[in-house]
Amino acid sequence: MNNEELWKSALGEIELSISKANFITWFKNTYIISNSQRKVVIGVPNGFAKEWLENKYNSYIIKALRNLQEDILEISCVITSDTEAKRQVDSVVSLSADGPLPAQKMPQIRQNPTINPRYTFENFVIGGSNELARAACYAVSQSLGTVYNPLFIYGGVGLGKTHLLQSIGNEIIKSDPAKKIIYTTSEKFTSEFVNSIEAGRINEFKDRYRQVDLMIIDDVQFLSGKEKTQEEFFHLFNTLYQNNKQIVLSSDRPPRSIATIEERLRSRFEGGMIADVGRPELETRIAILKNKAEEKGFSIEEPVLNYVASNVTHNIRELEGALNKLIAHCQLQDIEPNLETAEAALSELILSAKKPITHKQIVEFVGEYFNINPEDIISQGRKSKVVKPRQIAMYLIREELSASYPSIGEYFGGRDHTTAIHAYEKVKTELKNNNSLLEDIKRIKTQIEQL
Amino acid sequence: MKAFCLLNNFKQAIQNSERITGKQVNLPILNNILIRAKNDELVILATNLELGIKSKINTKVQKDGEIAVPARVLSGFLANLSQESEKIQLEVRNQTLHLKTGPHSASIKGLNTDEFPIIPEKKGTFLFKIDQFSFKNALLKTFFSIGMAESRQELTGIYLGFGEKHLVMTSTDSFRLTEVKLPLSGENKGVDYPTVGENIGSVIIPFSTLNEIARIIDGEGDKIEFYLNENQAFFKLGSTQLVSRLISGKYPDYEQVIPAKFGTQAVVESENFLRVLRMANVFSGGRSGEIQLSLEAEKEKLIINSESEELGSNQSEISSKILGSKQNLTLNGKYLMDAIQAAGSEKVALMVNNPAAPIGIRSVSGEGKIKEDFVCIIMPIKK
Repeated sequence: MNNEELWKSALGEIELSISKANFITWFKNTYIISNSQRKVVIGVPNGFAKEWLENKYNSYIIKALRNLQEDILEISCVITSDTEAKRQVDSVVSLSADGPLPAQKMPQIRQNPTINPRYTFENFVIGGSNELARAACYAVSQSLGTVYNPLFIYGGVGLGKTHLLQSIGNEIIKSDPAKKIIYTTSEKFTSEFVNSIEAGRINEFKDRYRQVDLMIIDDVQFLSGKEKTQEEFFHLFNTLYQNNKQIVLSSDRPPRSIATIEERLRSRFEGGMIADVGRPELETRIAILKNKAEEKGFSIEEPVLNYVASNVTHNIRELEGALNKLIAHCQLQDIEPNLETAEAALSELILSAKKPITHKQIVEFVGEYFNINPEDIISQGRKSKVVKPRQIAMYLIREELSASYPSIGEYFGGRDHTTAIHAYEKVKTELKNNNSLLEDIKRIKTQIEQL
Repeated sequence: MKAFCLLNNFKQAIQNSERITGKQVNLPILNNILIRAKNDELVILATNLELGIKSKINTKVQKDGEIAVPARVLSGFLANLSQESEKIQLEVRNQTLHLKTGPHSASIKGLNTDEFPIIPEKKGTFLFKIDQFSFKNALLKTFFSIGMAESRQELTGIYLGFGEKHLVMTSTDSFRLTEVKLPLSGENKGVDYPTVGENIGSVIIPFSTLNEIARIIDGEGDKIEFYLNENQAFFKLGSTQLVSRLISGKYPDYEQVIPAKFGTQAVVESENFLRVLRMANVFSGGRSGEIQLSLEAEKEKLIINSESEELGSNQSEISSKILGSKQNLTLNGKYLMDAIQAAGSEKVALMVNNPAAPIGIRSVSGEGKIKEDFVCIIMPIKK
């Protein structure tokens, strides 16, 4: 007989030995949680029941149980709530039915504490903005050190770079657990390097890193300005590369845009595969939301997902935050997520995102980016170093604010509207061919959005 | 059993215990209080199987012994005593409790103590301790917004969060939410506090437990100690100890609902605001007591409007210092009044983002600074 039947029969017998009032008070909502090695653990609803059953009714219970299962020696009680006990009963039943658990079902002790099992290729939502980067990472994970080495992934904040990098790690752990993986950030690398010098353990440091099969470094832009660390990194890089060990790097900008980095390091970064992760389009955002909602056990209808995805556009972290907020609102008020709730829950987020930008701010950003005084951008001067930023500023004002050409011309020191048209068209055409210009515009736009 | 003790101590302990005795029919012994004299102290026990209380009194014990007597009879006798005598004498003969104090005496038929439940004892060291009155004040601020619906058990208690620098107490009935933060200094945290804070994070304590604690707190012993043992909470205040069940289940992730910032803040005098709201309430009838608020930033005033078909309408203005843009919104007047009263300060800050987003009420310090240790969040009514 299983535990449920055992307890039911035992209770039947106990009921006869004590008063009805006592029986109802003390034995209501009790279950057998486990029955093994001659010891029975009973789930009880509160501390009083525990004390009472363990001290006063101990003998009654053991006697009743032994009449049904001879080998029971002792009992103990554990305080649980109803649902907890039921769940435990279920899991206990399945354990004893299968006998010793097959290896895969045992809880995994994380083999590599730096790789988070949450991030895998399976739960990475692919879209036009990230399919190249994803494909490159996947190819690397299938064949370390041979396909793309080094692999350099860059992109803005919260777009999935770390997810991809960690996925490579998880894929390797799954397919070849013997491989040595190190995942770290350039900041951790730097501090470990400095500490190991101070502790006189620099050789240990070098050995540890040079023995890996896969080295992943997140946010390498922070190596900028750190000469000694860069030098160490350079030697490490060479050793690994020459032994065909895989190197994967990530950054918030392409190698050529990382300031104060040694030329020889930069050229090595550029020597491998460079892939960028861009901002996800609407469809991708909706897919991501659907995915995450399912993970949390919620089903949310299309129109609501659409609303959230249309209004939260900057990055995936923000998207997740908005989703959490929506779910929390619904849980708190015990309602289903619908358009109205979404509007209420996210109104604070969305309104703050739609701050109006001004002409002045755009010109300031452009000036900052090119290191030119905003006054000069507006002024009449035609020095070539001012002309390009001025045209870019005009292009951006047209793009972001949809300002009329005459108003743009007016703002830039009373210029003619045709000047503005010319600037806009010129930049637009050049963008098709000039990648570095495309980069610059992208970066300035990101700064504007993060206002 | 034969013992003498101070009347006031005895009376206090019995009164605290009587409230916690079981009022159910199932196990009649729960209607009783157990009195045990041993080793120069009197231990008084009572329980309703959800909450248990144990009080200790210094006593002159001539003869050890114990008895269980009906709580109502004993407390009824003690409540009506004149305060003439300082001491009370207790004696048990033939399963009857004989009491004598000053010009009064009584004999109460008792029961065998064998059937009386065993009250669990706390184990280990305290999780945290905190000044009793601060704890009580914080609790009182959260009581009004506790959920009463049986269907959502988690909301019928108060969320007690073990934060790094604060103890957090939160209550909500899903229409409004109150959060109070109590600073917790290093010496008031138990050895296990950081681990428990990380692993368990928080517990939900039934309202009835905390209600009792608030009533019992009287400053004796100065700090209240909290212990957490396998699904039970223990509170120690001076010579009284309470054990309570915890509510299982996950408290909603309420922090997400509290807006990170507010676009408009209006500071008003609480008394004024309350008076005007009570007036407005008269005119809004029973219908969810809707009140329209206009935060006129430029004119530095708050305009309160209410109306109902049958009764009429009412409008008032109060002066207010407003930072941010103009706002118009509709709120439940009662919820607003509850929040202002709970804030308990001379001035309160009404914080708004827009007519659809949750609004907040915070208390304001004497110097005009908005304090972070109390907030009440209310959902506006959509128009």
